[in-house]
Amino acid sequence: MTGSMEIKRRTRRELLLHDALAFFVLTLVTAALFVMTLFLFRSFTNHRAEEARAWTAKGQQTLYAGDAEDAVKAFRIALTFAPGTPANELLLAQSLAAAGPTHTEEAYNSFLGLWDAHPGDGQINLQLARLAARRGDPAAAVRFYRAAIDGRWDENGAVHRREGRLELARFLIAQHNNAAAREELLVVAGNWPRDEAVQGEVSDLLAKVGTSQ
Amino acid sequence: MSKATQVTPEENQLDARQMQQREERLFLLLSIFIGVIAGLLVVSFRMAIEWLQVLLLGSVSEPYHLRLVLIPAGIGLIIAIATRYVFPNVRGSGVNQTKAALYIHNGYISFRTVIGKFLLSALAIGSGHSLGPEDPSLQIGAGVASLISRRVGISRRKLRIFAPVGAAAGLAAAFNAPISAILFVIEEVIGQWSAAVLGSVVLSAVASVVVARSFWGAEPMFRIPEVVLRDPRELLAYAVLGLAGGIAALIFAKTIGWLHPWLRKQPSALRILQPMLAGLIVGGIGYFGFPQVMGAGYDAIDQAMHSQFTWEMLLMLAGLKIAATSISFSSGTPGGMFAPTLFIGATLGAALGMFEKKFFPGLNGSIGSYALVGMGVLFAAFLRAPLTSVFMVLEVSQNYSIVLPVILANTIAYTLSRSLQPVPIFELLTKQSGMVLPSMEEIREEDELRLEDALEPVTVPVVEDSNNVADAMQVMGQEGVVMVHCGDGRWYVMQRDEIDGSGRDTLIKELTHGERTPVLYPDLPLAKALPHLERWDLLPVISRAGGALEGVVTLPGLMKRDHNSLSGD
Repeated sequence: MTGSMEIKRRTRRELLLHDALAFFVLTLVTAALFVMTLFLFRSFTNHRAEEARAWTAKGQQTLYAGDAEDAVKAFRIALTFAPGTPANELLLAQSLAAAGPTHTEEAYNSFLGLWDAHPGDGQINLQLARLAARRGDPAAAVRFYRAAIDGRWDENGAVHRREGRLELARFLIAQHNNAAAREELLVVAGNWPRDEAVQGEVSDLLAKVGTSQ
Repeated sequence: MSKATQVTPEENQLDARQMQQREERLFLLLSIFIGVIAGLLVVSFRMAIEWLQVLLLGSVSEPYHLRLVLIPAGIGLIIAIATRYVFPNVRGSGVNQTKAALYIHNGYISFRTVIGKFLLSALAIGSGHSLGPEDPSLQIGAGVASLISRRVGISRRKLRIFAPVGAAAGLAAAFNAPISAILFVIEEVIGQWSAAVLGSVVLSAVASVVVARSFWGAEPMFRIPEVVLRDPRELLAYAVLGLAGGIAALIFAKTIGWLHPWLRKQPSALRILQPMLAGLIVGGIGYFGFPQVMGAGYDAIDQAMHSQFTWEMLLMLAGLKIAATSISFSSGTPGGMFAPTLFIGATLGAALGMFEKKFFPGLNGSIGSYALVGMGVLFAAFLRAPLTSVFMVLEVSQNYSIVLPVILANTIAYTLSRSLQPVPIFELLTKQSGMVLPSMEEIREEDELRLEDALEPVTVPVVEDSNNVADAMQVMGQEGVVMVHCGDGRWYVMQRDEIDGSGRDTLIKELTHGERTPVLYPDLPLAKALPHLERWDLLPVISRAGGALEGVVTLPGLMKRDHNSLSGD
């Protein structure tokens, strides 16, 4: 009986040792695996960051050089390496818009995507207005022009709003909607009474409205 | 003794209770270790895929580069040779293989299979084969669990439980979403909620996600744009998405269902060339202008969610992805179907969102919402995991305002897919592989028979145990049995031969010797009564409220009920 108890006690001790050793080995394996994973992860994230930087620089270079097609390609690649970078998303959409009629639809979609996240952004609304005009959708164009005028601008908000309103007026004239165009022009003239350049431009456009009437 | 059985000499020395206590102590701790190690392996696996993609295809996959065709084809040949001669068990996605380990091999997955799955799946996906890393991650996790539990010397009985624990850990790390992974393992691997494993499954899944997030951050797997239901009329569009998703899932399932067995029955010499030919075709699709279709396609999913494609292009991508994945998967190249399913769903959803924006500008739901719901739709309809599909979208978007569109679209897609393709894809593939594994869809919907289903009215006489033998003899009649209601409120069933030979004035309670029938309630499963029917001819079933006698169950009654249920009642 005592012998059997002793065997059991020894067995339990051995089993405890076995389990402790097993967990020690598991801890070592975990540590080794962690180091390996960290190395792989660090090396790859660094690689991605470098690629994103390089392609963004290339995109900006080509966009300023007037090669919008190549800029589109570069910004797309930059975004695959650094998804969700707001500056690159905007630059891609602008490149698409600048790349001509073949990319109008993609540009419009890109700006719509940005608009979903920033519906009050003046720049995005203005771009959408221009693209909607290019797509032959005057109702959407007017809606986006107005949103751009009322929207948020990071700097020179007053100037951007004035330019946006003048652009809307020109668009309305082109659409033969002279009454609405006149209203917009009168608002601009009222807001900038001492700016001779603006007054001159408004006068020219008002004259155009009058002539076409 | 099978390979899976590990009985250490120490086990023989200790009794079963002590061994059980030891295993229970180890079980939860091991679950955490399994979660951590599976999480690290899955992060490494994903990094290996990304590195291989850069090394093999270059940083940028642009069309009209010959390597887009040559690399997947060449790697396909290497994979075929390795699959045939070195790692014979790594074919397929990993979900069915994990189920087979659970139901056929007692939870056993070899270390060689884990290594093979890691290497060959990474090579296949990294070289551009249209497959995903999630299902292999699930098998890698299950393999790690199997290996660890064997090495620690867990008993054969418990060994089986570790496979789903590891599977949940692997999938949770791959998805960066623990709830979806747990639900998927319950829906598709175990088939039913089981308290015995749930705690460990949760523990390992959470541990693996914590590890994965320490690398990837807490952000969801995809960059989720603004997700909102702006106009209730959009629900109509989501219903259309459900229909479209159901049809797309059907086409996808039918294509694989036809192509997979057809390729498998080709001559052996031709079969070894199939991954190469698959690589050639998928690479060709990439070469001729659609490199987005190659690999897992996460970048394209992200772009689709963020309105980077026209709706025509999105539809084209969805169609080509169905073709490319069907070919890659059916060729026997190891890799999963989750990522392609999400790709098809996202592109289909985004296409519908774009279409709506273009032709119904009044409804201005975000394209990202449609892409996200689309992913859930395909998950529900193709993989046939409806609960996981809903939670996956909610967990990935971290936004509950989308729950209504998700449930609506997923239900439509799931119902459509179920009625047009009664056999789910995983079950179909199992059958084509010559295995018979339990149907998870059937297990989920199994309605367990309960005692109330076999309840019979009380036709035998009832006496109080304060009565004497004469009273009992008087009411006993032809049946020769009475039910005795004891003073403590419980019951005893007395046969005539127990009374025979006793004095007429003997009290019944003296003949019961304190023995009682088991306490049975109507809501208990039939199986609860079976072990007692050897001792008792009939068993009283009492109400949980007040203990009133509801009826009795007998062996012939149980057998009759079971037979009826088997024959469709």
